[in-house]
Amino acid sequence: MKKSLLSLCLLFSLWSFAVISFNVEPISATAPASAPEAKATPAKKEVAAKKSTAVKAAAMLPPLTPANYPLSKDSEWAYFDLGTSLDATTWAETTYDVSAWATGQGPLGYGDATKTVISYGPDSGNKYITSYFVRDLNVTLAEVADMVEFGIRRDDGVIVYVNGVEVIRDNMPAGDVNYLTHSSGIVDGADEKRFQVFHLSKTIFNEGVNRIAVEMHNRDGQSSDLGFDMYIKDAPAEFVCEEGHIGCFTSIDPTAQTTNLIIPTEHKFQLLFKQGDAYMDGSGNVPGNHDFTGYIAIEGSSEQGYLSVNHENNPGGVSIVDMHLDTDTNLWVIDNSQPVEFQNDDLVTTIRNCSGGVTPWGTIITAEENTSGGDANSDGYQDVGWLVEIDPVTAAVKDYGNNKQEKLWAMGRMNHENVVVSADGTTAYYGEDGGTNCVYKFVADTPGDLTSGTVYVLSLDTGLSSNEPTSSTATWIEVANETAEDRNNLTANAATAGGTAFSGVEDCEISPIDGKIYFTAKGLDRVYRFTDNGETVSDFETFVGGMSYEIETANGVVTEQWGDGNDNLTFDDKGNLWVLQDGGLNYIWVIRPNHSQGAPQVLLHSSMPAGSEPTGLTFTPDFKYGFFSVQHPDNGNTAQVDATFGEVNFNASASVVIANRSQLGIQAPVADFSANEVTVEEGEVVTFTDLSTNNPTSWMWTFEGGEPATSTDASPVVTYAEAGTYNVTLVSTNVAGDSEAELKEEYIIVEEALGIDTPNQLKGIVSLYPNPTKGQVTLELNDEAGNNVLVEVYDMLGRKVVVKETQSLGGTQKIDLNLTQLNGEQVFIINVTVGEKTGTYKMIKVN
Amino acid sequence: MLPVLFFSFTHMKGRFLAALLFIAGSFAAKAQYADPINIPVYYSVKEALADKKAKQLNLRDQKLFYVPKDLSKLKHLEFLNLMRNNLEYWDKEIFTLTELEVLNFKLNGIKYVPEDIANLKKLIRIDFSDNSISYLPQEIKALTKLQYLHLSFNLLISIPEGIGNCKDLEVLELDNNQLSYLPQNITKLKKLKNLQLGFNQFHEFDGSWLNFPNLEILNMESNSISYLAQEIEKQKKLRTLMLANNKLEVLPQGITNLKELRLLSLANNKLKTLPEGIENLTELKTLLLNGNPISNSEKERIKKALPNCKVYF
Repeated sequence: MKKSLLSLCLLFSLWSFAVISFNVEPISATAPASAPEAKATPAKKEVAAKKSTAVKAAAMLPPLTPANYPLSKDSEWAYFDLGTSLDATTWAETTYDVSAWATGQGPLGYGDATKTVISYGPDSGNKYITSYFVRDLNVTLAEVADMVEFGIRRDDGVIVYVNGVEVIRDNMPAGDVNYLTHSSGIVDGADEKRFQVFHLSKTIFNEGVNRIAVEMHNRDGQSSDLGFDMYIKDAPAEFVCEEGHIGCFTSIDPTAQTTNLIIPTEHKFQLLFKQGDAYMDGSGNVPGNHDFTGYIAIEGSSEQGYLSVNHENNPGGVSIVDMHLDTDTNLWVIDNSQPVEFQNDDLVTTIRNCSGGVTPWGTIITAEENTSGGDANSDGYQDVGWLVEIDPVTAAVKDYGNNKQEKLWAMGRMNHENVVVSADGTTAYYGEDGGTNCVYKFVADTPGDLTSGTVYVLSLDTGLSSNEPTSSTATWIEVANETAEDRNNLTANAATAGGTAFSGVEDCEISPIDGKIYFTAKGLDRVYRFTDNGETVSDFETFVGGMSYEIETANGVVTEQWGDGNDNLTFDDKGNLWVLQDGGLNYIWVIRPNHSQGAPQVLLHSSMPAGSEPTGLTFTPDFKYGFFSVQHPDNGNTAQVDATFGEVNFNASASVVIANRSQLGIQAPVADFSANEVTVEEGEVVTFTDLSTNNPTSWMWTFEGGEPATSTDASPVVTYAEAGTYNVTLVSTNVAGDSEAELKEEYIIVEEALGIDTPNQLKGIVSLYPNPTKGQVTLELNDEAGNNVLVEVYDMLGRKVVVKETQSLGGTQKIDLNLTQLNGEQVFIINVTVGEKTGTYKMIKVN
Repeated sequence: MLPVLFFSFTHMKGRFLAALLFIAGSFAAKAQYADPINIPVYYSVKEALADKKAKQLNLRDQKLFYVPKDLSKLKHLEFLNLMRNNLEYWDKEIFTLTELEVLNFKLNGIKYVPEDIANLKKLIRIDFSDNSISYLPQEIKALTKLQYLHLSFNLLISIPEGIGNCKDLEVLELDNNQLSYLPQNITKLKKLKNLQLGFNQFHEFDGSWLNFPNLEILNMESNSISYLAQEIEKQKKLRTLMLANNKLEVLPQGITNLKELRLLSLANNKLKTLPEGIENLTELKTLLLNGNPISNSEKERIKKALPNCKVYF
């Protein structure tokens, strides 16, 4: 298929050439021009045109119309590669006529894979220094973000103008430059293909058509290559970290592996399922080499589900763990665990169950990373090298109606590593780790059914260079998968059809934010991503990897190498990409959704215990809990405390759950308390009651004005000897630590007792306030209706100064006493009689 | 359940019954895979020593530079996995494990196979793939029960004639080596079903190597083969023939006699035509011819001759 396409292109080229031959207009594209310092005069152009060749046939296409914002990679550009200087012209301005320039699709350049080869002149030992590129861009300012991102692939130096105004200068000396100015530095290796990122205000644009003009300067005349491409789009929105979200944490300090699992201080972990544990169904012990660790929710629950754990080993296997979250302790509890049986006549066996996937319909797919030959049951299918679907409810491999358990033959036999199925159940993406090292796509005949469908292999249009894509487009090539023979040999046929080898394709995932497909190539130390357009692919680029990153830790910004071994991938709901590393320093990395290689946003989540790699992260549907495994740690690792506050030791493979501290394990108490009385008289006692959450086991009370002044009892009894208002403080503690101090200010009011009518018969019925008063006193009465109420106020000389008589009305009743006409600061005695009960109060009047 | 019976019979009744069981085909063949559910698999020698009849030991990914000394105490061991360690030398303990049926040495650094391999006469499956093996001894002839021999991704330049004595061999994987010829005795492997020879240095495929009446899969992709012998037709049961990425300019007429052929990959050769009589390949479902200079008229002829086959040009 590809071949025939190629032939078609060739035919088209010849046809174009034929057109050129009869074209009397001069063309700009082509070969050697004269002296580099020569000015680009019309006469010179004609000279050049006479030397035109078929190679530049594409240049005869009509002039480019303005592109519409945003401008993607691999867009078409007008270019001027005649080796003449445009310094004296207004070439970068909108008024300059570039209709005679050659045009071609980006990337443009020479010496490396490009889509359009431009000329460096007649002398490979003295190449042209500067080449010019122009594209007009139609911008509707209201539809453009405030900040705009320019991504420029430049080998070597570049100056960018918008409407004649310089906006970007990169790898070029400051000050005046001209056509012969060399770039400041040499760009080589992977940097030649990387896009440098610049964020500029959209005010650089005018409404309507804008001219983007670029001059590319080579390092010198002997340079082997020159390359240019550019995109312009809205700058990504800043990532706002949501407090308490699992993706919200401070990077750990970079470290070599230690004898412990190291996670961010915002997180906790709980060890769940370890090699050597007894299976709870009685079928022996849990094997090792835990790999894919998939949470499968029961009815969408984030508190009850299955954990499927692969055992990448020989014998291989899969364990199914039934578990739930105990919402009292915030700990996961395992209710059952059992191995999946593969050893039967239909399936024969399973080995090296590496990674896998969870389908949208709630099954698990385990991936056999092994293609050793053998067909022990003579069913025509080789025994191993398949994806295998498991129903977690029955912990059994699926039967697709043929009265036997079957593997997913139609997806092909290979060194399977992982699979992701699109949410609509139509499409699966997967890759081969070893063998062909290709990326595959399976389009199901019926959504949700992986037993029949069409397989495609990904073929990059222009390949990789220094592990970087040389353009952003690719094609899917169909691979035969009709018969058992096709399926047994699917990868060999995919490779011969032109599938691109990436080296160790470990994992494919679909971003919930941009819908792009992300995959790891372990051997190339990179995560790539692309947009799948059905038969073709666009936006293919390196998302992360192959370089070092600045990491912001609690102790400052440090630089850390990405290293090798990027392996399993997982997205959380905010679009953070979690990258598990088998190699390098065996970290879990987290990449923010607004990350780009030119403007990195990389965090370091965790460091695995010595000897181990992290495998198979999946999340609960609410993204509060993440499950992964620690594969083959050293048996000399040391104990550490997990969320149970018990000691655990990563001395064998184990599955763990991680979460924000507030979501996992017993939490420190939140202190609170009450008192049986908050208003008492001198000498009376108050009994306090602890109301703290999270089951405190010890208490530290502080009683201002009380006896005892402190207590460690749960329900202390405190005597208040003197009148006044007093604070009470409680710090409660459990295994998780101390609560914040709970301070209740002026909580206990101790009133002075007069010694008369003790105990006061009206306690709880009458209160007088404020005390001290400036004259207006309220007597608040809470009594049944129908009692006579007598209030008599005496001064210190015993004179009755106020008398009030009334009837109780039932409920709360306020009686005003006006002492304002009584001069001076003095103390009054107030006798209150309600029915048969009396009480005496001391009231202080102040000015 | 079946593997349990198999293991116990071999122990109780001895060699004769075991041999009978192997002849019983798929029933015995499953013994080549460990059975982790019905028989304990141990992950350290120390653990295994607690079981006097320990049969299955898995020491994968243990960063071993040599095998544990006590290994030889596991007299009943039938399955030993040493995959992906750092083993470069052969420790003699391995050759004391005379009950061994499965030996997995994949992804280590061994450079040759010693003559002592002959001690392990009960071996049914050997996986030596992904090492640096450049030498196989004649003594391999002692492994008469061997059914699966995986030697992919090594540095072999020759296979000893002794291989012809491994008469039970069904799967022989020799892809990704440096082979340019096969021993004459190779055709004594009458039970051979799957022969993998891709990514070697073959320039031709001699008729004397082609006499496998039970061969179903023959993969010779990515060599430099410019000649394929007429004797290809003797592989009457061949279902899969992989010849992509070679230098074939013509195919022998005999290829049209492969009545069972389902998949034929000839991609990226120098074929201008296919032989007359390809319409005899009535079972052929997939034919890959991309990367060959085939004329349009020949394409039409091929498509007409194979109406039930998907042809990729």
